[in-house]
Amino acid sequence: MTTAVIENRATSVAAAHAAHSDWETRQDRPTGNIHVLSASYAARAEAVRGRAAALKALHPERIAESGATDVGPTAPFDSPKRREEALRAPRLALSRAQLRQVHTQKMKRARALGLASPRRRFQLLTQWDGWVRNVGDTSFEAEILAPGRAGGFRRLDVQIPRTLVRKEDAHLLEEGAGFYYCIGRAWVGPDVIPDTVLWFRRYLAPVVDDAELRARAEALVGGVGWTD
Amino acid sequence: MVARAIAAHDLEERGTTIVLVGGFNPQIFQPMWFESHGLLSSSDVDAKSLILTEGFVSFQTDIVGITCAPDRCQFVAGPNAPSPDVLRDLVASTFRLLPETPVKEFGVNHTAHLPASVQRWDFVMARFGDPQTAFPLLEAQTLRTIELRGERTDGRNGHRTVQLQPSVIHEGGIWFALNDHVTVHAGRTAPSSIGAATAIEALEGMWASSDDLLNSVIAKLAPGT
Repeated sequence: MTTAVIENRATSVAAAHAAHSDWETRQDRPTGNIHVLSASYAARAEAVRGRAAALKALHPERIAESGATDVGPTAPFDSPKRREEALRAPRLALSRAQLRQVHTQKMKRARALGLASPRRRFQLLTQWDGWVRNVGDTSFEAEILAPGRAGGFRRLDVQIPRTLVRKEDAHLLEEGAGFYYCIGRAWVGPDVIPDTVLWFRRYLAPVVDDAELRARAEALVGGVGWTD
Repeated sequence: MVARAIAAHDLEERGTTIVLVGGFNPQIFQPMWFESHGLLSSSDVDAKSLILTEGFVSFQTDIVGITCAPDRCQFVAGPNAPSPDVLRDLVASTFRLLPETPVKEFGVNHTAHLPASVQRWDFVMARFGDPQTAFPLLEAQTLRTIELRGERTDGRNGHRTVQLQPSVIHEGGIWFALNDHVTVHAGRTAPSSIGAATAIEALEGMWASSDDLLNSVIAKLAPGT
């Protein structure tokens, strides 16, 4: 498997192993999201273009128009004033009717095709990173970081219905939990439809003891060029 | 965290892979191990394929594909992976659970197919000169692969490689692969003295810049998109 990948790069497998970390990324051995498409795909792509407007209507992008503050590309959470402004911004719940509509469509198509999972491929278009701030009975409040128009990020406060949380992730929904809200499109049977995924991170954060933290902080402070 | 907006094309296909080079125990890397440690949910370890031998493990789910041999381990984003960041989280968490695993090098690999409507292979090839006359070695030769390697600019050891080929999916389009390679422990350091912590710290430190590099390469390959 590996020799085929590196045959034009090294004379021995051992040398190639030592030199390369792009194992199995040749395009004739598709990995990741790469899938060979049928010839009919081009026609379907036209349908995707036609549904671009539907994407905007179906996903909660309108939250970005809720008066939240664009905080620029760096240090988005440093300013107490910005935080207060964002907290005062109107909170919008995602439209349950819209979510139900998408889910119903997906399941209907999946059943018609006899599929266990309605989605056979997901293509990411926009990603919001967030963490849970407060968990309610039917929804949870979260802070999210979304790409801004000028290349920076904007921080938003949102309320997300718990129905978006996958059953297998229900135990992860707690204060402080991190998640990705991924907006894109899904390949469901023969169709490509707008779709979103709320993915709770399963992440083991590094454990740093107090002494190391103190050393890092001192190194950071020592590197600052103070002026009078 | 890397909130992102991707200028995806209708026909573009992307993939992300993380490959680690070092010394591994393949028998650990089974679906149930990831589930038992909470790194993947029970539904996400429903393997579509599983190969398990004494020295080799490979399985593929909708979310992730993992292949592990004694000298290297590969994590691939599956077709239903919502974001490449899922892969980063999985690799970092896995080797925080296995901190003694020697990892000497790793690479973050991005691949994408660009359709001809976005950029044509002929156009890119022409920018490197006429392959039929520049250095003729074969009759009616054509250029099928371009590989470029550059130094890292972030202070880490390693290199970056871009490989370009005509796409096998989109006629006239381009396939490219970007290998963002980091050498964590160079030379003949004894494997027993190497842990995974340095590699994971480097991976998390360069993840955002690797994504930026990918977007800049795409922007240069297909300006104006």
